[in-house]
Amino acid sequence: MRDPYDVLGVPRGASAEEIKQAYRRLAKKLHPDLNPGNSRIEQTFKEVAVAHDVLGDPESRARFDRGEIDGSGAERRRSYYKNYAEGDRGARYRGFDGDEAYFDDELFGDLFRGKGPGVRIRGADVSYAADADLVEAATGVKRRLTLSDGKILEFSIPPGTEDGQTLRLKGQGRPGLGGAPAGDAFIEIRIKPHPLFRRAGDDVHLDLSVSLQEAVLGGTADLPTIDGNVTIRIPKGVNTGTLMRLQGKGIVNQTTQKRGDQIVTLKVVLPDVIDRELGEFMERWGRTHPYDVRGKKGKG
Amino acid sequence: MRRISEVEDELSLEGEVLRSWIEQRWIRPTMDDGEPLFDEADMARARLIAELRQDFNVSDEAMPVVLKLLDQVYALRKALNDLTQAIKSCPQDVQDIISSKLK
Repeated sequence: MRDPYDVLGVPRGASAEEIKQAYRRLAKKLHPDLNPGNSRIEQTFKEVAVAHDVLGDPESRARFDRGEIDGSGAERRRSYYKNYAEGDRGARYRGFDGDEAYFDDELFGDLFRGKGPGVRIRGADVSYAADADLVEAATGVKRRLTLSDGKILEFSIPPGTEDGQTLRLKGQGRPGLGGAPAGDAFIEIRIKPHPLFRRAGDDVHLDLSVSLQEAVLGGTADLPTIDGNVTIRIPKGVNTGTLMRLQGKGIVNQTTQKRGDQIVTLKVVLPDVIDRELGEFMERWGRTHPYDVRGKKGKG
Repeated sequence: MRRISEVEDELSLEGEVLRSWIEQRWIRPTMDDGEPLFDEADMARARLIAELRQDFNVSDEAMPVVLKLLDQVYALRKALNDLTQAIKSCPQDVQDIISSKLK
């Protein structure tokens, strides 16, 4: 690990302004996005950035000077634009102001002019991402995205789509050259967490609170499913952790086309206030009906 | 995917700065119901623009020129990479001829 003062080329007594100037001078020369394809420069820039992290902040500089931290600081985790600029995600920026790509026509058109029927190059693929919530992804939904070039893309998220799944829209990428087909658009679907439902494979999980009376005597309860509300019967004597399975109320499996189940986990909730009547009843009942809930189940 | 407020926080950008970058089309995030959604490429590009302004003193007037030149460099690099891949997929004798012409 090199001394950060040496990396920035400043004396130990340098002012904050001198450190900033030194960093800016080096960053202008070494920024990885301005020097794509040169890993040595990227490495040097990282050292400069780390040195600036340590010395640019008066507090961490003082700690370094006192020997409390070494010159490494904590390396910033970041990704550079150059990592995307030449890939699918960068395609929208390679033709500035929404023009067609800069070079395809001139460069390759010139190269192959007069040779046979002319050059045909398939259009580039483009990648986008879209958010959907759990219910939309489970039941399917139509979406509309306005792309960076102003084009509107309408597509359906099919039922049962999983987080991170990528849809391929054939022919919706960049146009081809010389009559060649357009590229494809790839849309990665990100599923946002839902306040009530959780997904596990093809099953949907939901927690349902039940009152003490319902837990002891049974009853009915309305609860949401991904298809809307349903009413279920709660049997007598359920407990916190009791599972109920609503068959076929889960998510469509895209391979088998079968639907999973909705799994309801019950949670017994006591009244907010234990009033005198309940307290006295429990005391009377408890004296004649002792039962062991820990020894039997082996829980603490 | 990041929302506009998350990008503003992460890059310490004030007020309408980020929205003005989008209006000027320096960054072109996907619009989802009128609300910009930033993927990793948009985020990395926003970070680059922020650094060009803060560390390099690139003014807002000069920024479009800088970005346009950068985008041309990357488009050119992509085109050269594609050409390299095309040459690599040619038979060895064709590759040898091209290689000798470049010497």
